[in-house]
Amino acid sequence: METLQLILKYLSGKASQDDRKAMETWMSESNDNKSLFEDIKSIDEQSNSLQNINLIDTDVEWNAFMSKVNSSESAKVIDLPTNGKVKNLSTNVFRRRVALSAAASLILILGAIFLFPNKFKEIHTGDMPFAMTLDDGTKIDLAANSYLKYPLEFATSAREIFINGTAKIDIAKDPSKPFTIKSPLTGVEVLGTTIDLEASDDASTLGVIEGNVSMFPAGKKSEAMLLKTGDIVRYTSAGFEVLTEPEVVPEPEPEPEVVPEPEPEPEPEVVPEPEPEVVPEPEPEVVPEPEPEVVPEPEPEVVPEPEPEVVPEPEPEVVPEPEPEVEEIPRGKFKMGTFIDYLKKTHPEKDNFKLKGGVKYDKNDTINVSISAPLSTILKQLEEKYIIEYSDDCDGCFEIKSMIRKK
Amino acid sequence: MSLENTKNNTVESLFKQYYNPLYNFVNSKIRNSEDAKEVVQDVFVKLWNAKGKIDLDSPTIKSYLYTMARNTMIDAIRKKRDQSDVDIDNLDAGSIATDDGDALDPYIIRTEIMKSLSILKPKTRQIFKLNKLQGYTYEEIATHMEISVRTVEDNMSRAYGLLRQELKKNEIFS
Repeated sequence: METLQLILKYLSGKASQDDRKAMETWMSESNDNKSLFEDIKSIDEQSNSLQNINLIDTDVEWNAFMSKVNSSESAKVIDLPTNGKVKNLSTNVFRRRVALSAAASLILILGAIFLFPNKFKEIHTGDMPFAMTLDDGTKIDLAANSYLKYPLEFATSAREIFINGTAKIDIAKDPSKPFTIKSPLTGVEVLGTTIDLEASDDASTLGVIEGNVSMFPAGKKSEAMLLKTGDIVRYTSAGFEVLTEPEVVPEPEPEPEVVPEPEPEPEPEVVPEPEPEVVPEPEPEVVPEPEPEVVPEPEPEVVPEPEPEVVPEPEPEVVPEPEPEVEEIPRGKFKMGTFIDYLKKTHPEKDNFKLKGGVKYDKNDTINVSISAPLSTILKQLEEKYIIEYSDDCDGCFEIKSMIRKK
Repeated sequence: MSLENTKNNTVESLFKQYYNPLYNFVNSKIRNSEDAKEVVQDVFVKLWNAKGKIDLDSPTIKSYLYTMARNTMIDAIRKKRDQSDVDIDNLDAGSIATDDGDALDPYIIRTEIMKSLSILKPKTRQIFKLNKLQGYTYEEIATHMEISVRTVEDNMSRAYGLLRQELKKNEIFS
């Protein structure tokens, strides 16, 4: 760290004569020193030209590429009778037309991605899930057979997407631009969090992995329900249901079903049912807003806006600090895949959670854990359901060597 | 630039590795995102058609892609010369005269830095972006965020350290 600061000072030209000399001596001492200096210098220079660098989603482009390649092969065949040779210039438009029809036939087979003139992009996943990052940094893991629509560029005051299907969404924090996820039945508004959303024409189920979220019936922001880390809520035409397990249950018996299974368990009615007339129309066709407009009117904010200035938050730790009374932390039900990803993402720096390569587990198995508890507690809860073996050669960290589901 | 890892390349792996550097290189010249995408797509269509004829693991594959991008771009500009305000002759003579793939290196590093920003803690990332993308000085950032200049410096050097780690991991740096 000290060294890096000296290098930066040196590069900025603000180093004193003595410091410059010391730096140059240090550099000549070893090749490692020299290459550290060169690397930092190169990062420093190149990062001064980042303003115009765009990151294009290569998964999307690759799919576009594949349909182009496929269609240009058929274009060649069709071209031959007309003028014998494929010419880049003159046949470009023609090719594109062929590309469109070729793409259209692909939809049925593997799902397709295309660009709409209105600056929205739509993604239908077929049998394959699809992962992508929006240009604000929000990550979306879209499950198979799901639909996502998003603007190519977010509006200046709000971020809004539309999902019908299942997705895990890791929303980039930006307090000045609330993020709204519209679905046939509900809207979900967040300021930066990780959630699991399963939305269809009949129900929306939301699991909050981390953060604060408000969920409301489509078009009825005033009936929003506030959720926090660990909450799982389902909305149907009958209203909201809280699915989060009460933590008191000491031994959660292994449930075989996947997380938000529609059969209602005897869940505690934590939230007052919205009045009956509130219930939105059950038929999907009546869905309030089928296409998300880019900029929602500045409606009455449901979630209290933090000051829109550039987040002077107190060191945003990804994981909330553990309370001393561990038993108080409510548990939530998560899919193993989501849960392990979450641990890997949030714990590597703090207390070093690792999973040895090759450790297998059923990603769709569900588990009851207090995700905001300290890692040791979370792992204890995991051990209720799994027999876990840890590596010894990892000091002060938790590296899982093997895990097997208990009977 | 390390090339030891370029074994068993496929068109897809090259596409995912070089799409963004090539796109940003082209876009920096023609300043039209859609055209730039088209140019890069065309480059890979050519690569696809040459599959089997060229060695995708060749150490010169980077120069090859760069040269194709450059030529495809020039063709595209010629084609649109009338509508375009890009000065083709200047382009030819000046900024894209270099013919080797190393001209792509800055774009490889820049896109990799952009990608790697996501590994930084939010506060560190914000400070880095304010400084590098928006050009605020350390002092301005400190005032703006109500933290000390020292904290800004600490965060910046943390950012550099982590970015270097990430670039080494992805074999951008040897």
